[in-house]
Amino acid sequence: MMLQLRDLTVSIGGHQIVSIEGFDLPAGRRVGLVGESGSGKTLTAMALAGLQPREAVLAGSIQFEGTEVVGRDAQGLAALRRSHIGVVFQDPLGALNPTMRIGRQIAEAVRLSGDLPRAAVRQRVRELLEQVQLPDAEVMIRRYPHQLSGGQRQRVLIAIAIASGPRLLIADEPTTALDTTVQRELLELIVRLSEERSMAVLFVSHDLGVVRAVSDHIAVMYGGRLVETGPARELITRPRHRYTEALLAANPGHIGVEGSSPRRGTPLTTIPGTVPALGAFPSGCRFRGRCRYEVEACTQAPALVGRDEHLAACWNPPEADGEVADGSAD
Amino acid sequence: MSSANGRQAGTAPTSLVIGGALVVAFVLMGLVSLVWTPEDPEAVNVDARLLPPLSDGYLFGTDRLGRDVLTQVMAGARNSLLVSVIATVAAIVPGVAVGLATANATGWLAGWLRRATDLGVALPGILVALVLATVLGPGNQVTIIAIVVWFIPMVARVTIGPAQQVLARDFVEAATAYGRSRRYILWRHVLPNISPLIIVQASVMFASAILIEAALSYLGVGAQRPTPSWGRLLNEAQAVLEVAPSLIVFPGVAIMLAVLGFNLLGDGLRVILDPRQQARARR
Repeated sequence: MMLQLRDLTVSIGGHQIVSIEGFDLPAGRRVGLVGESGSGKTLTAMALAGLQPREAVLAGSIQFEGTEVVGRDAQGLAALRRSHIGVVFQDPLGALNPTMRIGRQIAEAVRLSGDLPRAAVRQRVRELLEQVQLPDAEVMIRRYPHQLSGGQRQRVLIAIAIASGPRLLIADEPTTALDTTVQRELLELIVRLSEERSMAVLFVSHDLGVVRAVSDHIAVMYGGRLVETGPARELITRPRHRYTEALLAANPGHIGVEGSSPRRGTPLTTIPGTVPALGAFPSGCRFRGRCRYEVEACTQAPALVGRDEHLAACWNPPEADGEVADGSAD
Repeated sequence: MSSANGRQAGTAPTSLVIGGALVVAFVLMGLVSLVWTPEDPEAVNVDARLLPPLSDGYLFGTDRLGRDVLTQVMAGARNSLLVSVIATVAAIVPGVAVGLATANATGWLAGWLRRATDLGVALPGILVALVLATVLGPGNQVTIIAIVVWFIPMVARVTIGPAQQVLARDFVEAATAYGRSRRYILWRHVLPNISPLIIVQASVMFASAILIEAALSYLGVGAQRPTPSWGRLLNEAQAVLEVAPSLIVFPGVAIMLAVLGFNLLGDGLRVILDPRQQARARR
C-alpha cells in the first residue's frame, strides 16, 4: 500500500477537527475526497503531505511507502515532498510568485528534485510545459503569472507539482475558480497525467460532479470523519451512508445516478439544518440530528465497515441493492 | 495623486514626468557645479555686495560678501545630493534587513523587534542630530548619521507589513514545503515583491533627507563653511533679510523644488509600480 492512514487525528486549539480510523491509497489510484466546507477534507489532504497549519497537532499514523509522516521533522518532510508528493493549490495566482517568470518558477521545482546541468533543466521545463499542454514553450517561459489566464496558471502549477515525478499528487480544489470548459480540460489533463505516470491522485473537492469525473474511488467526509469510501460508480449508484445518499439527492442531477435523474421543475432536495459548529457535534454518529433515518444505535459511534472496498459508517444504511431513497421531505 | 486616475495604459503619470524632470534638473545642477559655475563659489567681491537679481553678470544677485548667489545655489545642490544619497542608501539597506527579519521572526523576538522599531520611529531626529553635533562636532557626517538613525526604523516599519503579507502567500508556503531556506525565501521571493514599495519609499525619503540637510545646516550643525549648502545660505540671508530679501528666495525655492520633485517622483513611481494599477491598465 502506498499510503496508509491509521487512527489519524488532527487537532487545533484542543478541538479534534479530523479523526480517521483507517484509509488506504494504493499506488496509481485516483481518489476523490468530498465533503462540505468544514468537513476537514482539506486539512486531511494537507496533513498527508505534512502541510497542515502550524497550530495543528497530528496524532496517529500516516505511512507513505512505509515511511511515517506524522512527527517527521521539517527536513524529512521537505525531502518526502521533493521526491514523492506533489501539491496543487487552490488559488493559482497566490501560488505563483508574481515577480518571477514562469520558466524560472518551473525550473526551480526541477532543480529541487535533483541537481541537473543548466541545459538539462531547460529541456525539462520545456517537456513539462508540453506535458501540461501549454503550447509555445519559448513564449510561455518568459511570461509572468499575471499575463496568463486562470487555466494556464493552473497548468503551470500542475507542471511544478509533477516536476519531481511524484508518486502522489494532492490537488486541493484545483478547478474551483475556473469556468466549466477550462475545468473539464484540466480534469482531463490530471487524469491523463495520472495514467501516463501511474501517479496516484488525491482530489479534494466539494463538487461531487468534478470528483466523479476524475476519480476511481470516492471518500466522503462529514464532521471530520470518513463516513463512506468506495469505488466511484458503486458509491454514487448505491451509497451505503445516509449522508452520502442525502448529498447525492441534493445534487442537481448532472452526475447521473442511473434512473433517478430529477425531473425538471422538482425542487432541489436539501439536507436539513447546517453543519454544527466546531465542538458542537452530537455524540455517536456525527450526522445525527440532520439525518432522517436515525435509529437508536446512532447514539453510538458507528465503525467504518463493509465488504470489498466499499466501506461506510452507518447504523441504518440505505438498502444495499435498493434504489437510492428519495431524500426529499415528505 | 489625481494623476493616477484616468491614466491611459502606456502613458506615464503627470507626477512622474514633472517629478522626474525636477529631479533630473536637481542632479544635473549638482553635477555641473562640480565642473563649472558662473563664478568661483568662494570668490569674494567687495565692490559687488548685495546686488539685486538680474544685475550685470550676477543673474541671482550677490550676497553680503559679494559672492554670486547662482553659484552658491548650484554648489548647494551638490552637498544636498551627496548627503541625501549617502544617508538614504545607508538607511534603506539595514532598514529593509531589520524589517525582513522582524516580519520573519516569530514569538517573543517578533514582539521585541516590533517594539524596538516603534521606539526608533518615535526618536526625534533633530534632537538626535543636535546631540551628535555636540559629541562629534558639527558637519555633514552629523547630518548623515542623524538621517540614517532616523530613517532605519521608518524603513523597517514600512517593510514589515508588506513582507508579512508576502510571507503568507501560497508560493512561500510551497517554497518552504520543498525545503527552501528562510534566507532564500526572503531574498528570492519576499524582496522582489516588496521592492516597488521600497523604491517609492526611497524617493520620498530622499525628499525628507534634503529637507533635513537644509534644516541642520540652517541650524549650524550641518555643513560648515566653506561647504556650500542651501540651509547655510538661508541662515546667512537671514541677517540681511531686510536689505536683500531675494537672498532667501533662491535657496528656498531650490529646496522646495527639489523636495517637490522627489515627492512627485515617488508618487508617480507608486502608480506605475503598483501591480494592481498595472493589471488595471492592461485590461
